[in-house]
Amino acid sequence: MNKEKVNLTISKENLAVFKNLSIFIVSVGLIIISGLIIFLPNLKRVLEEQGKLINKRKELGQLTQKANLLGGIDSFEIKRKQASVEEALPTEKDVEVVFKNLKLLAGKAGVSLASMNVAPGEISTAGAGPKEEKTGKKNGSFETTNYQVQAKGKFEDLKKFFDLIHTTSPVMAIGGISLSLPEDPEQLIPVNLVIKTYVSGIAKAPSSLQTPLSQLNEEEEKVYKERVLKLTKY
Amino acid sequence: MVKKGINLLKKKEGKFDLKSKIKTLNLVGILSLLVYFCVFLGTSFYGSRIEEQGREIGAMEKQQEKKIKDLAETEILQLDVKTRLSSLVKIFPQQVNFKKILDYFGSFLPEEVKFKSISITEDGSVVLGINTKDSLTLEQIEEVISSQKTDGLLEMAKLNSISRDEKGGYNLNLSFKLKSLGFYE
Repeated sequence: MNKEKVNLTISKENLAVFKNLSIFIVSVGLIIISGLIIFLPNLKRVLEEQGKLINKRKELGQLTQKANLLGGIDSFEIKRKQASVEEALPTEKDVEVVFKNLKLLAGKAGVSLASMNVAPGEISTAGAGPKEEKTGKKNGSFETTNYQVQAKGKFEDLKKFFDLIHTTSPVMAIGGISLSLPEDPEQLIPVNLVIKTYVSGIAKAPSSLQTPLSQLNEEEEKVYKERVLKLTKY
Repeated sequence: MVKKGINLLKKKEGKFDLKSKIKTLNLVGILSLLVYFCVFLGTSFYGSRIEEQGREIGAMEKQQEKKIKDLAETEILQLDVKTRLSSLVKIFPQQVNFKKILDYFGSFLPEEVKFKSISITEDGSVVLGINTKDSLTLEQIEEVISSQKTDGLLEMAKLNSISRDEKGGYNLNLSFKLKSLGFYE
């Protein structure tokens, strides 16, 4: 009997306690409800935006760097550079130009050209020209054409001819030589040569905006200064 | 003298003070709500700042993109130079200096040796046809070749054939393999 009375007293007290605790309950409720409905999605959005902002800053950094690098390139100088590099490594195969150059070099060295042959599959046609270089590609690509050349000359003149082939633009290389020396030293020496010529694709479009600008590395700069610029031009 | 201590675990005697606990709880609730709103406002402010910064960066990006687009021609030229030069980096080592090779064979073989034929390929393989008048020169050739193999630019030297000619001399056919060093420009 006593026990029941006690319980009833506590229950009344509890009711009063809940009434008095309404501020606390409302506060907590507000925090939970608005937290779930407004705060958490807002926080999620803010965090996402923050992530995006970091990426945007990176992109801006890259763009600024690229813009600065491009702005720093002297347009006159790059045009001159491109012209001399293209002269050294042309875009299109041209048998006529190769023949003309070889004839000029042979004449300069005192050697006479007897014949020049090229395999039919290697001759340039509009469709068989070098494929367009993909933009932004770091490693260059080139095509080689082999010419079988027969020439005649004195031993010293032939050596001069070989030397001229290596120091003239467009770039050529000797793939092999074969010569027989006659008994009579005054007689001209016939020589069979394999001449290699090269062509490269051309960049026609800029890379994507975010792609960093391809700059010349040390080796390429060295090749430009020490070889390309020193080639004799015709 | 009796020392007085503070009893930190002192309990209130008598009835549990519910009213004061409720007050404390309500206060805690209000404070939590205030803190929550502060955090909420802070987050919202930070969010709007981020958005603003994003817009600023976006505008700057557009500016830089315009600059890059305006310099597209320069970029194409730069790309073209890069492509061709990276090709030339690979091409130039293919240029074997044949003049240098011919000078080299002319310099290390004895003067009495006459060249009959020379065949050189770009991989450094040389086939030499030579003629000597006597066997003494043959010995000299052997000596010179072995010294070139150790100190010089020959990697391999092989006698392919030897025959006598009508005049009593010797026709030799030799194969050599050159060390690449020194013959590429």
